[in-house]
Amino acid sequence: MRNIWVIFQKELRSYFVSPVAYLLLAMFAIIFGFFFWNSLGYFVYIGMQSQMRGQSMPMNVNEELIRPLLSNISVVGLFLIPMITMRLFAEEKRTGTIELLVTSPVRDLEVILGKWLAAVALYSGMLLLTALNFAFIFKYGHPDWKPLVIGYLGLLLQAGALLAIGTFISTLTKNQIIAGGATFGVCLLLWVLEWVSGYETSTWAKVLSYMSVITHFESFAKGLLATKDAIYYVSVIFLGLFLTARSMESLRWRS
Amino acid sequence: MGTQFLKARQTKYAAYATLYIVVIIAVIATANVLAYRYNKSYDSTSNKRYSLSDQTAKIVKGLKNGATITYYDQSTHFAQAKDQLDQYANLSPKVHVEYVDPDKKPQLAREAGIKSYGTAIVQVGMKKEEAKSLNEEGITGAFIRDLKNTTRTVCFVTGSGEHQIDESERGGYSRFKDLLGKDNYEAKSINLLQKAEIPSECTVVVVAGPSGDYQQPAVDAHASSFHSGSADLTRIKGNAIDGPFPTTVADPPFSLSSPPWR
Amino acid sequence: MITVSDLTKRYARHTAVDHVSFEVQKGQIVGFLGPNGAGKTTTMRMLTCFLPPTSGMATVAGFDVLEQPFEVKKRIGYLPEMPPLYPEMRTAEYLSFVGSLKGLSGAGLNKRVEYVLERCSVADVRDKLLGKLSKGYRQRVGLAQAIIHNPDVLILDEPTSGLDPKQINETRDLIKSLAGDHTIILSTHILPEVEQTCQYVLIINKGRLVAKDSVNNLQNRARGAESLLVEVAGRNGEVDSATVQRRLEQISGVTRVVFKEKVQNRSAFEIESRKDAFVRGDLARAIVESGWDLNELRPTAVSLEEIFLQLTGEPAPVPADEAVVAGAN
Repeated sequence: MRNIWVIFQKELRSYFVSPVAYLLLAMFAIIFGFFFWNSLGYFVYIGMQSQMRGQSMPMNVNEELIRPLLSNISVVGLFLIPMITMRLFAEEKRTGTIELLVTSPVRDLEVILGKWLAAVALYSGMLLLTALNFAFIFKYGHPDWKPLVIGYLGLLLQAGALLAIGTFISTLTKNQIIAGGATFGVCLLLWVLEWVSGYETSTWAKVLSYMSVITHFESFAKGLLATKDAIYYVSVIFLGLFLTARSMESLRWRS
Repeated sequence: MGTQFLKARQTKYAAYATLYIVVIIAVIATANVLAYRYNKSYDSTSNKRYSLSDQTAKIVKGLKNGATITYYDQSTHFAQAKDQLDQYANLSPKVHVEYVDPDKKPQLAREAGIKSYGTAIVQVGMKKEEAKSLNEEGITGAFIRDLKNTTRTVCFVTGSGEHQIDESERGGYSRFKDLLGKDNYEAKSINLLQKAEIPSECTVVVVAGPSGDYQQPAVDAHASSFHSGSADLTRIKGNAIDGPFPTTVADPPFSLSSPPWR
Repeated sequence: MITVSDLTKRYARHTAVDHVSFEVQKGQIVGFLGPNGAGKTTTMRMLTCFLPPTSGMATVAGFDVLEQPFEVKKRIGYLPEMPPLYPEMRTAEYLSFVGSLKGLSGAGLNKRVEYVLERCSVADVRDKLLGKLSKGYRQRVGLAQAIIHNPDVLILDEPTSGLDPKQINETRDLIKSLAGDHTIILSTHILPEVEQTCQYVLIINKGRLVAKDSVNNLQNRARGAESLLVEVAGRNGEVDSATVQRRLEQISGVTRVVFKEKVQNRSAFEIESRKDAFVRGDLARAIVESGWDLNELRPTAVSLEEIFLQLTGEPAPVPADEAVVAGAN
């Protein structure tokens, strides 16, 4: 148990020694900041427009502003998550330090959890930056806070799932770039699945749509905590980490 | 001491690993399928805008057969409808939602008799009903109509100066008739002067402010049907009803969704 | 302390380790000698539980590497061929990390970190990034991480590779000083290294163990078939190489004389003698009595190849019933 914490600390520190973490945080903050500013501006503009026309169209901040922005974050995350996970195992394999981990009295699972949690922590930092933006809304208005919390919970779960997949892919190669590329490909695929089958109703379409990570975020974005979506994310996290464990095990059995 | 390992150890491991993975995937898939069917949502929005009313929940969850909601509109508008229709699908695994773009599939739209964009058809079993509006009211209303085996009839007594459901001017209750229709109640007039008997199909009898007293035969007709339980009686405020009526009046057995009159 | 029995590692195309058996007692330093690709690293990886054996058995401190790897790992310090350093960590930070992985914590951990920093002479780079260290320092940090938890067994894969002569000596001294408290296996392809640091040696070639003996015995065996280099010059005037050669060939015990070169007046010959014959004295006397100058008489370095030739002269590898490395002669 303690080993998880040891590995977690080391991994998190490693992120911040290289420019990677800072780069990711900055990129995320800037990109989302731009989206936010854009959406907020539009929102205000529409509001003013309808006021001028004399219609008092009540615009729901949560619905019109927060919900689409949350979906935005989840998509931006798709692109940045591969950069977080690509070095987790690939780097260890490349520098040979994996030999140290495997020959130390540390369980595979402890290594995996430590690394994955570090990745989640880094992503949480990124989410926190976006939350700063939302804090502004609260200063100047009275949006519903509970759906926002649920929304962030959904983002966290979704990230956890994708990070678990990324961790697994990182064990498959020594080359960080390949790991990152493959993870990106998978994330993209999972994203597109939802587009393609969104409104079809054949069984295949439903299954494909179910597998998309975006589909399951919808309810969270609305402020609903749906058991089926929560279970989906937890399942993917479990599956990703499970496959990572098998992959680590097989490292010993292969050459 | 150590055990003797076979050369096939590597393949043994490969087999074990594959089996393990397959089993785990099966378990996860099952868990997800179950979660999908028995989904529960906690709605954190302050006005519960993403939850349906208890009445709707009761109706949808009580469905014995499958139900399908088909939404006909241009595909760009699907997203808006999805929010609403998904809530129905979430209530019960028996409810399915389909989206059809009449521009892309005109055949289907024609068969269903769609006349305008933004129509939702609710089908339960063999019966199809069009939702009067694309909100909870309209859709649930369509469900209700589908589920009704018989149409309930509200009988309005005429002949003594009561408000007429056929009249559309001021004082007429034609609007009432329309609204009843939306809720799947059929409205008709009965003239007790012609025939002093309440027809059996009347589930509710409405006495809408007669200007004169009722003749005895009419009263008897009311009394007998009331006491025999074949009809319930509703008084309508506005004009007092005097006369030899049983003073106990049963409460309406149903609530109309929107009282149309003042 | 370490028992290996019929250990084998087979891959699809070749067998890396072929039914190797040996035993190492507590406190011994054993050298694992062999050319590159002989199977040294693979054997070590099996001992450290990094690779599972295809067949056979290995125990460390009484724990089986396959059945109780956790216990084995707690008691082993391992320095792989490439030290497992994280380039983005600093020395002290890294040693602290490895220490916690091995189970140390708190004040005890700090004390050990300080100790190994001193002991391995890396204290002056404690705050430097590992990625920026020179090869010599990297190797020493690698050694430091191997001993940080004071393990019973040290397994060092080519610990002096890439070091300059001064560093090599320092490292060898360090390793020698660790013996007694620790049981050490180190691998190398340099014979003198084994001679200098180890008490016993296991010679491995192509996955098979071809010799296990004490270093002394090995040296004796090697010396028995040594070659000598002789340089002869004419005292008064030229000397004919062929004449010299013939004279030398006559000495009893000499099996072969090879003419190497003639520079000005000096002729150099390589002399091979029989295993048991000690011909130096006779050679010297013969040359001087013939009226020539004996400029040089020295043994040529015994190459690994020659040892192998000798030791692998027998077709069969060392039989399995020689389970214990023979005591010093």
